[in-house]
Amino acid sequence: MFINIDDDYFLKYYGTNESEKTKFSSNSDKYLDNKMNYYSKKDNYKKDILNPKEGLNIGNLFYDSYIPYKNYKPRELVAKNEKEHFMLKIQELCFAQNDLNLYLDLYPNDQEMFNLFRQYTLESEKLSRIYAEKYGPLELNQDTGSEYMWYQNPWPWEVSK
Amino acid sequence: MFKYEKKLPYPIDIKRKDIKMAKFIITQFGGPNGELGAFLRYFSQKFTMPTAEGKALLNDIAVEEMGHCEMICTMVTQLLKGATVEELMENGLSANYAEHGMGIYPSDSNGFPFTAASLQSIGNPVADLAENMAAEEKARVTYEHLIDMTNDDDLIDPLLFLRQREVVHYKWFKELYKKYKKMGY
Repeated sequence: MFINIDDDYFLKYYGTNESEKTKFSSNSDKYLDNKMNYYSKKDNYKKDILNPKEGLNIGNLFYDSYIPYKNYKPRELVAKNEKEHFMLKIQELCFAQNDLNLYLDLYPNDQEMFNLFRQYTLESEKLSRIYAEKYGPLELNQDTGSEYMWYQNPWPWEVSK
Repeated sequence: MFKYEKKLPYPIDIKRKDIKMAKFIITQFGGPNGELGAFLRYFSQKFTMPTAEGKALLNDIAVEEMGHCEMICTMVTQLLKGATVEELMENGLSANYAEHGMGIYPSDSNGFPFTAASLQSIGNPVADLAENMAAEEKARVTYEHLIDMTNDDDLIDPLLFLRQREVVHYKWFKELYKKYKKMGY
């Protein structure tokens, strides 16, 4: 079963406050859901901009410039467990951040797009920190627990079983 | 400086061993249209981009290409997982095994080692960007060739993703090219 990180409860309960975290895990069933509609409320910034999930799936956040190959359509990315679910969300947000980053390099004065960039950046940072606490650091400067974790398997090229 | 993130830009989970495809896909690491060359090309060119937007774009796409190098090497690693020497010999990797064993080595599909001779940095922004537009198109077509050669969805999906990134990079290079052209470079 997946923790629903598709609604605002997720980020709220995975805040910095320790007691809030406990509250989340004891009540997590309430928020279990696999609808994956986390971004849907925020989709209407510009109509041709996909949400992070759709963007990662096709490799392009800007649907008007998407060029498919023949009739190929990538399958929807699906996580097999909670760890993968977290990772996929981080990958989606980082993807959106990256694609907006390239856009902003050429259009730095587009404040609306910068707001979206900032939102995804903050969300991915939060999720990354939660992931690091649960499963080990994704960045070296997250390795601040009681023992050295950075070197541990699996590395990204290894399939975790 | 650079910081490593212990994750891939796009998930890769290949379950079916396919030595032949490993031999072909390695070209997108060390071949003339591969990701390593793309990284080095944009990384080198960024130092002579004339405006902040140009330096930023070249820098940021270069860094993205480093992540793509790791994706390609991940695919090759997973495609070769569990392969025996006999299987390598039956599937066209004898010479590769003689030279590199099971090591991941930056070469093209024919085993030709990576060379910076396949890329250019000429110190003029429109000439560099025209080179980059061509490079992205060639990389896109190479991914299409690779997609044509397999029916494994675990492989096709990340290849489609990487192909689409070439489409995106081409678009931004083209926009910057037009801007610089207008500015008189």
